[in-house]
Amino acid sequence: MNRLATLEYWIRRVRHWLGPSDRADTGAIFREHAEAYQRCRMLIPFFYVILVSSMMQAFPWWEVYLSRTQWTLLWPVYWLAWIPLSGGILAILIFSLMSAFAASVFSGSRLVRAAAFLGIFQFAALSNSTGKIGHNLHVMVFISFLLIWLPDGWNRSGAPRWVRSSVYLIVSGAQAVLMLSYTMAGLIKVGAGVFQLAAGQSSVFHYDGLARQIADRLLQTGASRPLGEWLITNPVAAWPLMMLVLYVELFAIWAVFRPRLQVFFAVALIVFHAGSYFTMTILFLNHCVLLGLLLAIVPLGSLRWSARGFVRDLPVIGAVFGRLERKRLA
Amino acid sequence: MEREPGKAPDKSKVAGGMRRYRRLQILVATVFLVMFAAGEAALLRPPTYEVFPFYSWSMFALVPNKTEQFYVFVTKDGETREYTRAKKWVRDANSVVAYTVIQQYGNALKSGNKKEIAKWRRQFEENHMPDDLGYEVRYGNGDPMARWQQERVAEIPVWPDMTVVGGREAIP
Repeated sequence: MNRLATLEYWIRRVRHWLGPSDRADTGAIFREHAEAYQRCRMLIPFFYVILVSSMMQAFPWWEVYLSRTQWTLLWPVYWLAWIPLSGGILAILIFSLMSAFAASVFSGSRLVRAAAFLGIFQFAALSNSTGKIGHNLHVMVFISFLLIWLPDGWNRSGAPRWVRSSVYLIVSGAQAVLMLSYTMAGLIKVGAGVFQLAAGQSSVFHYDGLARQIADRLLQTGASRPLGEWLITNPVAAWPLMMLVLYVELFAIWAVFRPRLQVFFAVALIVFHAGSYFTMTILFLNHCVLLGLLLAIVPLGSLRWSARGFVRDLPVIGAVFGRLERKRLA
Repeated sequence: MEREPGKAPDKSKVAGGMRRYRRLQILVATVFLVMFAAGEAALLRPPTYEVFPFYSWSMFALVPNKTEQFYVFVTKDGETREYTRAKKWVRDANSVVAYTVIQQYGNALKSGNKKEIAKWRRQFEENHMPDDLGYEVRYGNGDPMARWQQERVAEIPVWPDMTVVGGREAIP
């Protein structure tokens, strides 16, 4: 129990450190939770609708999957090696679709939510057993796992406070999982950039860093992208975009704890995904929908929006702004 | 259940609820930490740097300076085309999955590992290459910006300078 208390203490410390520049009082926080709970009640079934739509996007591939004999099976679907392949694949495709559909209708049942998690987990493993692992479904797997643990009766009207707070907590966890994927991407970009700088190579910090990435990717697939090709020949124009991407990716996790930043980070990341498609043919459709749903449409927290508060909440920029402001007032 | 107005909440129920809430807090924090730690640990596991579903999200982290790449050159009726430019002959010409399989196949050919060669050859030939086409796997390297200028701007064929590492031996 002592260890548990220590862990709770650290969770509070980290939340405080990542939190907004101005703090709401406890009463405001509870009012905030109550409002957010109503939004979460609508959001959760909608998440499962998105899951259904992800499965349906794979319909054109069903025929290819069912006729394919050569797979590089990932561990969650390794059982397919021991049964008739096409039968097993069909079972995964149908189960994942039906379980997601059932969860969108009966999201109050933990058993159905657990089935939906198993369905997306199997489906993601299958669709990534083709020799190349894509990453459009990973976050959906983690969020489905978190949603299993919603408390019983979470969607009933008049749920007690701890149930409402638990729903809020799980949805914040879903936001955190989504944004962590970006922060991890940003961290490794910065790390690799420092390593390449030290090695005297062109890195993400160089003026032609993004142009090189685009050129390499378009050469790999032989695809054509007018915007990407323009940026390759005008690498200086690509540099500020790369710096913006680095900033937004690296600090994405802050937006979970600073509600005023949520819409901005969601929109910036959706624009980043659109840019990746128009320059490199890479599309993370599920991430865009989740960013829209979890952060842009249903931001959690009700801290009143103000331009000053927004700037103060921006990581690094906010700290510089705060210091300048204090100097001016002194 | 909604409590009756004026009636005090049942203290044991409130305490039980708070305990469950705290357990949930720990669960959410654990999922978050495991996703991060296992994802970063997967960096130690080449060539995919991933243990599904844990991933480091190391997408486009290293900027390509000098890149090594395997190419497939496809032949039909005496005409040779690079795989990504053979849309009329192959279904997956611009597919990143086909590209990844070609790289794995090429790496296996270069290393001489017979088991890996057989595995990736089956993957490539059965999923991405029609039976009636001959093909050759070649290996080349260079700076992507220079390669862009040569291959896409000047359209100078690159394959005569490349080393052949394998294939279906149908290119004359």
